[in-house]
Amino acid sequence: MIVGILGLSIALQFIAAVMAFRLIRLTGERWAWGFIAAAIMLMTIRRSISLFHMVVNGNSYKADVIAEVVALVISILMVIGIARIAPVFRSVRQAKEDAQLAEKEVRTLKEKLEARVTERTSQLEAANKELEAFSYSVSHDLRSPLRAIDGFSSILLENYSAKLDDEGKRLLGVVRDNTSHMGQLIDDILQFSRTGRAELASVVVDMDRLVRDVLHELRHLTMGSTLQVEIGHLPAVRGDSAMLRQVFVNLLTNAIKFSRTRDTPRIGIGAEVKERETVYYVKDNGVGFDLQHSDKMFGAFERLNNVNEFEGTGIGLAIVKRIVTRHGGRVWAEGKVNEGATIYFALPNKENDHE
Amino acid sequence: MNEDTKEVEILLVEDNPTDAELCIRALKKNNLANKLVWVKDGAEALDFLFATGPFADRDVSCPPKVVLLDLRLPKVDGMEVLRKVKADERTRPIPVVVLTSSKEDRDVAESYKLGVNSYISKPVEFDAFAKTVSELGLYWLLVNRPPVTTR
Repeated sequence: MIVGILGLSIALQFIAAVMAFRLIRLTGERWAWGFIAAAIMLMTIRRSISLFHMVVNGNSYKADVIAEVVALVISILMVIGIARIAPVFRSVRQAKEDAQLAEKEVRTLKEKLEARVTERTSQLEAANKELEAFSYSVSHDLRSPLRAIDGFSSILLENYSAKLDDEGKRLLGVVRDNTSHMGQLIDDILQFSRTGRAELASVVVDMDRLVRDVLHELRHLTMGSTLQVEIGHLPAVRGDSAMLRQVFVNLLTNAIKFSRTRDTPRIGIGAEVKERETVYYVKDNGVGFDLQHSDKMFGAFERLNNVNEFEGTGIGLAIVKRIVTRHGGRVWAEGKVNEGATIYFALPNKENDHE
Repeated sequence: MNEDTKEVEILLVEDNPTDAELCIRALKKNNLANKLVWVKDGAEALDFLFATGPFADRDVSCPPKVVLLDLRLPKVDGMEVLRKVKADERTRPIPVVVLTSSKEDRDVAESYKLGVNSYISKPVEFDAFAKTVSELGLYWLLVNRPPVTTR
C-alpha cells in the first residue's frame, strides 16, 4: 500500500512540476516559476529514490506511513493550488491583451481624428483663401467700372454742359452721387470683412493716447464747430491697437455727426473699471435714438436715420461690435430721441488672467 | 507704334481702356500727356522697358521719366513687371509708381519690398482721381529730378 501512496505522490508532484513549468509561458515569470518547478521536480526525484529503495531493498527499508501520507496530501494540495492559480494569471493576461487592443484602437482613432482635423483645416484655409481672393477682386474690379461711370458722367457735364438743360445736369449729379455712395459701400464691406478675418494682436494699448490721436485725426470734421470734448480717465487695455483705434474712429465720427446740429455739441469719453471688465463709453448730446431700435443699431448696414440728414452707410457700429466681440467684450447703447446717445463697450480685464 | 518712343516721359501700363482714357485725360488737362506711351499688359511693358519685341529699336538708356503701373494685368502681372524692372541694373533707376484700384495691405507691402517709388490707390470719384493723377504727373515730370541718363 505504501508503494501505491508513494507512486501517487510522485505522479502528482510530476504533474505539479509540469504545471508550474507551463505557468512560465502564461505569466512570463521565467525565474519564479522555473525555481518552483525545479523545487517540485527535486522533490519528485527524492520520492523516486525512496520508491527505488523500497522496491529494491524490500522490507529492509523502513517506511514511515504517516510521512508518506502527509507527502501525498502536500502533493495533492500543490496540484490544486497550481491548478487554481493558472486561471488568475490567465485572466490577468487577457486583461493585458484587452488593454493593448484598446490602446491600439485608441491610437487608430486618434490618427483618424488627426487626419480629419488636418483635412478640415486645409479646407478652411482654402475657403479663407477663396474669400480673400474674392474680396481682392471685389476691391479691384468693382471700383474700376464705378470710376468709369463717375468719370464719364463728369466729362459729360464738363464738355456738354451747353447741350444739357438743368434737369439733365441734375440727373447726372444723381448718377455721380450714387456712384460715390456705392464706392463708400464697397470700402465699408471690405473693411467689415477684413475686421472679421484679420488676426488679432494682443498688446497693451494706451487708450487715452489713442483717443487723443483719433480726435486729432478727425479734426477736419469739427472745424468751425463749437464742439466741446470731455475726456475722462481711460485705463489702458490689452488688445489690438489698430482695431481699437477703428472702434474710436467710428464711435467719435458718429458722435460728431449726430451732435453737429446742436447749438453746443458735446461729446464725453470715459471709462469705468469693473471687477472683470472695463467699460468705455462715448456720449453725445446729439439727435439720439429710440431705445426700442437699439438692437438694430449694431447690425451691418442698419441705419436709424435718414440718408439725406446724416451721411453714412450704416456699417460703423457693426464694425465696432465685431471688433469688440472678437476681443471677448460686448457693446450696448443707451439713448433717447433728441436727448443724445451713449455707446458703451466693455473689454475683459486680462491682466488677472493666467494666460 | 514706335513713333516718338525715343523720348517718352510717361509709360502708362493699364489694361482697362476706360481707366487709361480717364488717366490720359487727366494728364492732358495739365499738358502732361504729350510724351506718353500706353501699353495694355505686363509683357508689353517689359518689352518697352527692356527694348525687346516690338520695341527692339528703342534705346534702353533713355528710359521714361516715370512708369505708371497697374497691378492686375493680363499676361504678366504688375508685381512681376515691378520685380523685373527693379532686379535689372539698367532699369532699376526708373521711377515706378503703382497706380491701382487695390487697397490691400499685402499689395502695398509687397510693392515697397520690391522697391516701388510710390504707391497710389485710385480713388473711385473721378474728381479725386483726376486730381491725384495730375498731381502725380506734375510731381514726377516737373518737381522730381529724374535719374541721370547715360545719353
